[in-house]
Amino acid sequence: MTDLWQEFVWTATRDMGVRIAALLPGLLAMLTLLALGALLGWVARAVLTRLARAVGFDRLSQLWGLTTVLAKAGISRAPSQIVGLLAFWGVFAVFATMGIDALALPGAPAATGLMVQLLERLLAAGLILVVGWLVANFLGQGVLIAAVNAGVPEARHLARATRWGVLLFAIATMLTQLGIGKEMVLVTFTITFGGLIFALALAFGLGGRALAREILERKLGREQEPHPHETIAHL
Amino acid sequence: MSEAPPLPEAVEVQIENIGRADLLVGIPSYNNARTIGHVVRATAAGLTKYFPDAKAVIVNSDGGSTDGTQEIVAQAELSDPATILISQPTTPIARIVTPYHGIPGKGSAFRTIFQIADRLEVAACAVVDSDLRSIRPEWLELLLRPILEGHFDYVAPLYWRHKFDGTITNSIVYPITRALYGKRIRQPIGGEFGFSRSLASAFLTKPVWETDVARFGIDIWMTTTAIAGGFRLCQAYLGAKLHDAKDPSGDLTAMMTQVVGSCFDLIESHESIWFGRRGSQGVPLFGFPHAVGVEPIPVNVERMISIFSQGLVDLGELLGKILPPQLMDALREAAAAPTSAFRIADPLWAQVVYRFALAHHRRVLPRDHLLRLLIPLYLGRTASFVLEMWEASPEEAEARIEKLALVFEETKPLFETEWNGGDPND
Repeated sequence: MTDLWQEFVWTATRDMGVRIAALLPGLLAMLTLLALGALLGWVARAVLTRLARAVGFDRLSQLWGLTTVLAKAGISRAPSQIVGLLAFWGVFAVFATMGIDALALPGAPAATGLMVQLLERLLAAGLILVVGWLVANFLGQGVLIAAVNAGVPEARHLARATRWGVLLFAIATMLTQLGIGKEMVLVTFTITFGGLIFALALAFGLGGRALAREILERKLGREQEPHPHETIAHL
Repeated sequence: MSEAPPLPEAVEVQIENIGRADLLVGIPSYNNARTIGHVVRATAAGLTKYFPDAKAVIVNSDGGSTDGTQEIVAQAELSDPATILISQPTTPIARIVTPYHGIPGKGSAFRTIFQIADRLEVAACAVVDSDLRSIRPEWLELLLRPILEGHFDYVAPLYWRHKFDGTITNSIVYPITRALYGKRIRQPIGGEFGFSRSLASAFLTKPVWETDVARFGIDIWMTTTAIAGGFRLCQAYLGAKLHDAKDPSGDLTAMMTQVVGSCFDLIESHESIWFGRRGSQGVPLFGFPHAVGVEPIPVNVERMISIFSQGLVDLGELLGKILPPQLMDALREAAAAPTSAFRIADPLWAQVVYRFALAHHRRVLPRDHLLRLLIPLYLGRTASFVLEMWEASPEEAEARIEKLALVFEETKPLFETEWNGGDPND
C-alpha cells in the first residue's frame, strides 16, 4: 500500500517535472519576447513621439480639431504622445503574440493567427474612422462658414447634417471592414443616407427655391442681373 | 523660377514680325464682349494721340471667352476715322489677340502679357481692365508717361470712386499695405497699372503663377512686389472708374480668399521688408485730381449686419481660435446695438485684421476657412462704415479712410510683438 502510494506520488512529481521542463524554454522565450517587445515598444514610442513633434503633429492636430475632440473625451495628453503610446502598444502586442506562440500551447497558433488578423482589421478600421472623422470635420466646418456667409439661417443644421453624413459613411465602411453585420450595416446605411439626402434635397428644393435657381444659373454661367439691393464693388 | 508656358505659335510669328516695340498695352478679358470694343478703341486713341511716334502693341490675353470677345478685339477699328486726332501714328498700332494658359484668372492673363512685353523689349507697359466703361484716351498717357519720361517703374492708379465702392480696398488692403510697407498707394488693387520692362521681367521670375496670384491676387502682388523690390513708384489720377454691371456679391468669397489671402501670404514672405518700419510716405502723383460724378450705390446694410450677427453666433467657436475674448466681446457688443447705432470702431477693426493675418501665419485653421471666416466681420465693418458715412461728402469719407489707415499704423507695433510670439499685454 505504502509502495503504491509512493509510486503514484513519484510518478506525478516526475510527470510534472517533465511537463515543466518542456514548458520552461517556451516560457523563457515568451518572457524574453515580452521584454524585447517592451524595449522595442519603448524605443518606437520615443522615436515616433519626437518625430511627430518635429513635423508639428500637435499643431496640425489643433488645426484639424483633433486636440479639441481629445480634450472633450477627457484625454489631456498631447497628440504626439498618443502616437507614441499607440506605437508602444502596437509593437508590444506583436511581440506578445509571438510570445504566446512560443509557449506552443495546444490551440495557441489558431488563436494568435486570429489575433493578428483582428489586429490588421482593427488598424484598417481605425484608419478609416480617423480619416472619415477628419474629412467630416473639415467639410462640416466649410459648409458652416459658407452657409453663414450666404445668410442661410439654418447654417448649423446644414453643417451638422454634412458632418454626420460623412461620419455615417465612415462608420459604415469601418464596420464592413471589421466584418460586423455586413448586410445589416449596408442596408441601414443605404436607408439612412438615402433618406438624409432625400430630406435635404426636399428641404433645399422647397425651402430655398430661389437659392437653388441662383446656384444653377451661376453653374450654367448665365448672365445675372445685379443684386437689387447691393451693387458694392468690393475691390 | 517657374518655367512660363510657351506662347502660341501664331503669337510667336507676330512677335517675330513686330520685332521690337516701344509701348505695350495689355487687356486681360473673359466674356467682356459688351465693353472690350470701347476699351480697345480708347486705348488705340490714347496711344495715337499721346505717343504718335512710338511703336505700340495692344495685347488681348483672353481666358477662353465664348461671347465673341476675341473677335471684337480682332475686328476693332484702331484708327477710327470718326475720332478726330491732331496726331497720326507714324507706325500703325499692332494687335495681338491670344488665349492664355495656366490657372484661369487675371494673373495668368497678365503673365502672358508680361511674356510678350519681355520678348518685344518694350520701354513701357500698361494694363487696363476689359470691363471698363469710363476709360479715356488720357489714361494711357497717365499710365505710360511716368515710365517713359519720369523713369518710374510702377504707376498705380488713383480713382475718384463712390464713397461706398471698393470696400475691401478701403477697409483692409489699403490700410494694411500702407501700415506695413510704408507707402501710401491708395489703390493697391486698382486694376489699371503702368510698369517698366525691368519690372515686368522681374514679375516673370517669381514662382507665384500657380497660386492665388494667378487669379484675383495679381494686383496686390504686383504692388507689393514693386514696393518690396525698391522700384520707383508713383500714382496717376485717372478720374472716375466705372465697371460693367455684374453681380459683385456673387464673387465676394473668391475676392476675399484670393486678394486678402495673397496679401497675408505677402506679409509672410516679406517680413524682412515690413518688420520695424514705422509711419508711411506719399508717392508722387501725376494727373490733376478733381471731383467727378459717380453712380449711386445701393447698399443693403440690414443684410450685412444680419450676416455679421449670425457669424458671431454660429461661427463663434471658430472665431474664438483667432480673436482673443476681449475682441470677441467688443464685436458682440457691436452686434447687440440697434442698427442706427451699429459701429465697429477703427482700433477694433485694425486688431481684427491683424489677428487674422497672425492666424494665417500660424495656420490656426485651414487657410481657406480662415479667410472665409473674415467675411461676416468684413460685412459688419462695411455696414458700420456705410452707416457712419451715410450723410458724409466724398471728401469726408476719404478723410475717414485715411484715419483708419493711421490707426493701422499705430496698431502695427502690437502686431509685430504678437508676430514674434510675444504677449501684447506685456
